[in-house]
Amino acid sequence: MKKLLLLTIFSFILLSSFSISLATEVDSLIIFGKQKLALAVNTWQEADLLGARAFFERLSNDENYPWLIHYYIALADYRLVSFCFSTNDKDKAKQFIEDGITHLKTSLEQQPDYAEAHSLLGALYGNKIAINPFLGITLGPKSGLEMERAIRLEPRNPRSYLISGCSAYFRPKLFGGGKEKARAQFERALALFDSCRVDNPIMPDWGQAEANAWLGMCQMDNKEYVAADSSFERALNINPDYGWVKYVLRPELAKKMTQDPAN
Amino acid sequence: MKSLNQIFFLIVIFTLVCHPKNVPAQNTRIIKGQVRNEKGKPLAYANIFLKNRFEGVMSDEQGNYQLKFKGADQVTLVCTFMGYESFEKELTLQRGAVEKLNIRLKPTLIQGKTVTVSASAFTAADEEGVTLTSLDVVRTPGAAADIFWAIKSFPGLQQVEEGAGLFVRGGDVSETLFMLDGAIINHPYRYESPTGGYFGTFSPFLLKGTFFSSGGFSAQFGDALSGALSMESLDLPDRRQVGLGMGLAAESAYLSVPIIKDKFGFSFSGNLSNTEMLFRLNQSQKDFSHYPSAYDINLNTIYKINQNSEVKFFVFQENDQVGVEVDDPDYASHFHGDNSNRLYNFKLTHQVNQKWLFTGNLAFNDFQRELDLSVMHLNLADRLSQCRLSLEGELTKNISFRAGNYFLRYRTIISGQVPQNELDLSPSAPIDLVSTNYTSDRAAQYLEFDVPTLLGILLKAGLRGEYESTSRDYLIDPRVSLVYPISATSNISAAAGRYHQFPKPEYYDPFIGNPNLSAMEASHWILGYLYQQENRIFRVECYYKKYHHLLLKDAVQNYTNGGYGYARGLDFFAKDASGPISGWVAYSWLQARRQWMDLPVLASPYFDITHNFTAVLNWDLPFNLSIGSSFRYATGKPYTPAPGQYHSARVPDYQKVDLTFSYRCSFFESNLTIFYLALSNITGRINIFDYRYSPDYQRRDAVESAYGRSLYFGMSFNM
Repeated sequence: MKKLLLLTIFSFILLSSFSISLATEVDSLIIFGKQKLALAVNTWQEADLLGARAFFERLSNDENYPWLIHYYIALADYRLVSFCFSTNDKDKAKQFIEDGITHLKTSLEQQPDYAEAHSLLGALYGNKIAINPFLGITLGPKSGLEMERAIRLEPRNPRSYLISGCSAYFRPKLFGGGKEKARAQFERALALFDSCRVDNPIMPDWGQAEANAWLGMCQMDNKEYVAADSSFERALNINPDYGWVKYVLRPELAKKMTQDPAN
Repeated sequence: MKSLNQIFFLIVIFTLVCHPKNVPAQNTRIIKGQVRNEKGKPLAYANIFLKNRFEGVMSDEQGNYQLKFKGADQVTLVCTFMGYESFEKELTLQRGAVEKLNIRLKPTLIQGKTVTVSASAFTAADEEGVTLTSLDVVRTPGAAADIFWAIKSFPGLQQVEEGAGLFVRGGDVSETLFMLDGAIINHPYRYESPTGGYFGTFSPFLLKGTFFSSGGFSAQFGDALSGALSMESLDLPDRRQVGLGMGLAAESAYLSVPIIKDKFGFSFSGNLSNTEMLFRLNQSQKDFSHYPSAYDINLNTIYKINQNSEVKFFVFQENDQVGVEVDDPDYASHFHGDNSNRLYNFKLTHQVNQKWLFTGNLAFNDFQRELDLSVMHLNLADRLSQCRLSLEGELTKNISFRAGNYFLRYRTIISGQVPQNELDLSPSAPIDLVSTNYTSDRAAQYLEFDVPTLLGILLKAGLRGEYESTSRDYLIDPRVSLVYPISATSNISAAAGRYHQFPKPEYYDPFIGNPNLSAMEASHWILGYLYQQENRIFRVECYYKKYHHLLLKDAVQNYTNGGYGYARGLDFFAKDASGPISGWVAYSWLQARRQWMDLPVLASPYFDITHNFTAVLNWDLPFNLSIGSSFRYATGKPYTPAPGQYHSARVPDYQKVDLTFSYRCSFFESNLTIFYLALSNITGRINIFDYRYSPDYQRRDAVESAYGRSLYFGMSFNM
């Protein structure tokens, strides 16, 4: 009897080691994918961004955290949308927006209270309005609703405020946006990045360097050049290869400082 | 004990050996090839991977790829690329095998299935599957925020007169079907007249969207010869919204409240209109004894029972009145109309499983009307009770279906007095007393499939069967529609079908009608081409319709089914919404002939408008201002200048230019306020709709449009 018991326990452990090892295999793949995406944001090349997206797409049949995989595909889409905006390719941007929205909706069907997916969905609706402002009437409230929901679900998630800030930055004051409002959101996000740590390595933890970059941009708009420089410095301390800060924002600041040395 | 140990040992070895990490290296298999699109162009950075495994690669700049994997004989290869349908193939590879697989990807069709598999249904809106959103309706210049007026600026609709009556491709106003949330609406017009009505009954703000088809429509829609309009009411509100509108002739309020988030909520709207100030300001040509006035209220309650089921209860009540001077060469008279329209619609939707959706409706529509004109006094009550059950969904991955069943009961009750001779309404004319009651029961079934076929052609094929109790007719209509995608941005569409429409119940009356009437019939043949890109649409369609068994006045039997006719034409539509200046152009050419009702010969019916042209331009200026303008042109209606020359002449052409100015602002967060000013008919042209002759054809009066140049202003406040 005893041996039989030992036998069954041992076989159970061996068999379940399959699923445990599969689960940890997915975990390490997700961590790898996150790094791939972060690297692609630094190099800012279409091939790298598509590669990161493709990597997560291959995991989409995974049964362990399908909602998280769909979120990451959408996050890659969000980055690709930014890329298409920077190259003025509106048709392609539209495709990535729709794809991202589809994946986020799938993610939310599986995990309706996933705050990260709600805030990213709000961001993508905002991108859609940026391409076609007429959609602002119907999508504006929808976008706001998703972002509000994200904040309600996870009030201490810094990314919700980061995304809310990006949206407010481009939205006219008349419709509830404006640069002052955006700045307040970025400052809030930064305070939360400092105080909250993400323990689980497969969960999203992006945005700290980004929030510093955005704050720097707001400070630069407001002619607070010294403060802007510190913000960009902080961004590069977190992410030394951050292309946007290194090759776009910092040079712009330098140019502004020479033109207006008083500040 | 020993054998148990052996088994134990074997299990351990077995699991260790079969663990994927332990598989030896010669087990490698390779799949390689090139990825191209449907035109043969190589696709770089396509994603090629194995389903349910983690191996994958991207294609290089020449579209080439090489995928290595181990440890399985049978795999499913998947290839994806943005903008294209994903590709899957099952493969079996032996150890060490190298398989060559060139992949050809097909582009995803624009806008999904709902819009592409429908000829003659088109969209000027940005949302999918919807022809018009309420915002489109309000923004259309010259549309007075009325849904039907806005639809009239699309191709295929003839400008017959100023009201809301929809005359579709040479079809009469009575030949278009109206539905709301799947319930048939018997009286869709406000201020009803024989040519439709002045406005539509429903305000665009009650609705989520409107779908309109000018022909070749699917088996879902029946009992209509020419057109179909399907409206959908608002969904469960996700946030509280309040709106107020005030204009020269109307006040409206609406309120949307989510009582329990995502579970239970309602939308309420009320509209009050009184046109006295509007007509007085614009010094109208008509003399009203009672300026057209109306009110309506609507309550839409939605309860989401669970993830899969929802019930909606839509209650609507409307009342309108008008009194007007009638200009007849022989006598002066007043027309007074008082209509009330009530609709109760209870709808249940239930997601049966992942793929199928069930919808059930119970609706009751009660229309009452009082008409007074000289010696004619009529009370009409039109009641429609209906029950619909329908099921739609996916049969297989590619084939979807729609099936449904309707039970309808029409009851018409007419009482009052009418002149014996329809043309003689003078105060001393002889009259007949009327008191009648008609009932007609109908049952309709429809079944249709959306099937992808060869060459990428999407086919929609359906059958509709309809039974009517008075004539005891059971008719079957086949309908087919197909779309052939030429490229990712263009397609050719075609549709053909048979359509039936039963005469109204009162035509079966043994005294004033003919109890042996059968259904009227039409056949449609449509061919079109569509080019659609982000923000730009170009569409051209040609059609031919034959009408049979139309009602024809008969000296002996009152009416027979001897009427017939045809309509053929071309519709053209182009839209560009890519910049701050956006707009569309719609043109139709029509040739329609009929011999039906009281037309003495095969001739142009009064809705045979040869050229119809509408151009709409919207300009978004900075500082939240926008200007909208529209130009409408139509050939004059036919009229009879002398006895025996039926409809041989045409009144002067119709022309109208309208301008709308609007200014948007926000007084506080989440507020949107719009101020608007509309100038109608800025050239002041007096359009003539008909010439009314005295019985001896010696004198004539022109029937002119209600206003010349006119002004309308208002504001809407939303939060």
